Amino acid sequence: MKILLVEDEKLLAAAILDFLRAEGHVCEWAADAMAADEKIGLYEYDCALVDIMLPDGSGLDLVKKMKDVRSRAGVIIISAKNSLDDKIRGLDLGADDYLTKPFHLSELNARLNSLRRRRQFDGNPEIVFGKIKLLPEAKEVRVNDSPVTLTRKEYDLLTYLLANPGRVLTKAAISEHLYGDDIDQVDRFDFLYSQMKNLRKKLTEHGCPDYIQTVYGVGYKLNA
Amino acid sequence: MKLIHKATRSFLLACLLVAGLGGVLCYFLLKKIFSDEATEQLYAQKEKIAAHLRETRQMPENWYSLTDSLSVERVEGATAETLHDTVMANPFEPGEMLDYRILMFGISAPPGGDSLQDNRYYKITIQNPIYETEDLSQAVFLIFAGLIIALVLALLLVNYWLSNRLWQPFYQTLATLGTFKISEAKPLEFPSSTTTEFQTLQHNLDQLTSLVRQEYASLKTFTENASHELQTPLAVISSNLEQLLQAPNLTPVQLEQIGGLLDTTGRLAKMNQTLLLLTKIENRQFGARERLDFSQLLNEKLTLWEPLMQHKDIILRQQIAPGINVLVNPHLADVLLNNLLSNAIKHNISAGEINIALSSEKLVIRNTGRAPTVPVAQLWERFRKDSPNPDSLGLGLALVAKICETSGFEVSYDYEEGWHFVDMKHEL
Repeated sequence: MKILLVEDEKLLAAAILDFLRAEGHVCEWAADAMAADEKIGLYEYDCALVDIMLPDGSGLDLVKKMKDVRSRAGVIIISAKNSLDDKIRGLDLGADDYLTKPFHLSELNARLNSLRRRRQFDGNPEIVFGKIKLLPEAKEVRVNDSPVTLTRKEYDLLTYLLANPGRVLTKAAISEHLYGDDIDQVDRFDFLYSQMKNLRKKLTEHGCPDYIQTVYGVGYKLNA
Repeated sequence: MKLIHKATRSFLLACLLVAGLGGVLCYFLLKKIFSDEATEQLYAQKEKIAAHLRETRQMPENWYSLTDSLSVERVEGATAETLHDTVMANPFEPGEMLDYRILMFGISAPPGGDSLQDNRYYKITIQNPIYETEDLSQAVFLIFAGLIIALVLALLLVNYWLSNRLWQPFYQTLATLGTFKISEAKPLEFPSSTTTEFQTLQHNLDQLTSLVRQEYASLKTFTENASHELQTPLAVISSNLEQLLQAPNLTPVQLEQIGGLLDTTGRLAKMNQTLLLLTKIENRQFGARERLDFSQLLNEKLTLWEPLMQHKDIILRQQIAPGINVLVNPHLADVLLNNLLSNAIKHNISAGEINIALSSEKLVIRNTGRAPTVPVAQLWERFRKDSPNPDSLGLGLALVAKICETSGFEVSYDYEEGWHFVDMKHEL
């Protein structure tokens, strides 16, 4: 995808750009609203990641401008403001998603993937990884073409892993994706472990190689 | 007690005091005047008799017996003059006693022209009733009682009028002030008044409220900015650490170190978010409450948490009355239930139990668990935690308490024989 990142914090922007490029996206960076405005006028993007608080204006104005010129780019707002008002206003203006800082890059990846799926109705909606085939429309998972019955959380877990192949995913990132981050939750890593075990078991039972690698003390990694 | 009642009470007290004192004073004054008058009359009569004697040089023989009030007695030698009071029966009203003032004096008639006798001596007694003290006190009492009643009536009327007319702007100002909401930008509109004091009051209130709103707004902005300022560096750290984690050829030790840093950063971010949430609730920035189907929300939450309960082999018993509506901010209700349920799971034992009951009055969550090591009352405080796990922030119950406080719920927590109780009355 061709992605425009509008973020004034240089170090954060560097990390995000580094990550997105490693994922194979084409990225451009604008550090303020003016530069972003110029780029929006000149180029077409598939997606824009927009920070709300910019040194020379509000990212919400940018979102509005993009929608006004009927840009086909999907918009994901990234903001340190975990304020409901901003969230609602952003989504009202036509933003597709809202991420609160700090966020996990793998979470950003998952959101980007679902955005891409939603946008490309004509493309192939299947996600294929090795012997695993995931059909998001039908919420179906197949291994060697035989359906695997997963619980909702196991399905979400697999989707998240498939969105981030080859990346080390921390346990915190995965459980926040599954259960939200509102909760002061203690047993979740333990729980994640058992869910991961169940998922592995169900996949391997259908003759799927164990793609999920445990990174000790950190999390998991989906390896081909 | 209303201002007008208080003022009336003071006025009434003053009236009673003045009228009482005045009555007593008046009584004694009148009594003295009457008494002096009686004495004066007695002496006037004495003068008349003396004058008569000087002119005629003889005592009239025939009038001294006509009335009781005067008696003449012929005596030997001079009599000393005395004036005294005595009590005698009223000749007209039997049984009633009357005060009499009696003047007794001696008088001598010089011998007549034809007589060679010595001076003749008489003792004359004049008695006059003094006006009856009882009647006097009665009259005084009646007059003053009438005066007080008239005064009180006048006072009540005047006060009624005052409160209706004069104090009206004040009461309206009070009512307007009662509608003051700090989160609203609309200025208060006070009723116009021609009274200087009320104008000053309204002016000062105007200034005060707008100042308070300014301070509130700047505090709000600060809170939001503080969030921004902290969250962005945290985002920088965690994003870069996550990228670092993807580097090839990391040793397991290095991986674990970076993972640990990421976890800590995540905890820091969450702590910051939770503290901000607490501040926001304290600043009452979650104004909009709405009627929420609490039963439905609770069921949704239970569905969300069910896998975790199953994982810990926890038996869930629920008695959720359908369609319980609660007036609460939706976002806060979400946070509240998440915290209560995760607590019930977190502090549970393996193969334990959770009982949840929701009725039209209250929500009761009971769960099995270890006895708390911290006194139960202290668990509501921030960073008070009863868990050795560093992942627990110790802010959950503080958040619950704060949300209940702002939503007008009454929440209590207790531990008894292996069971934790959370009792939340949502309908007071």
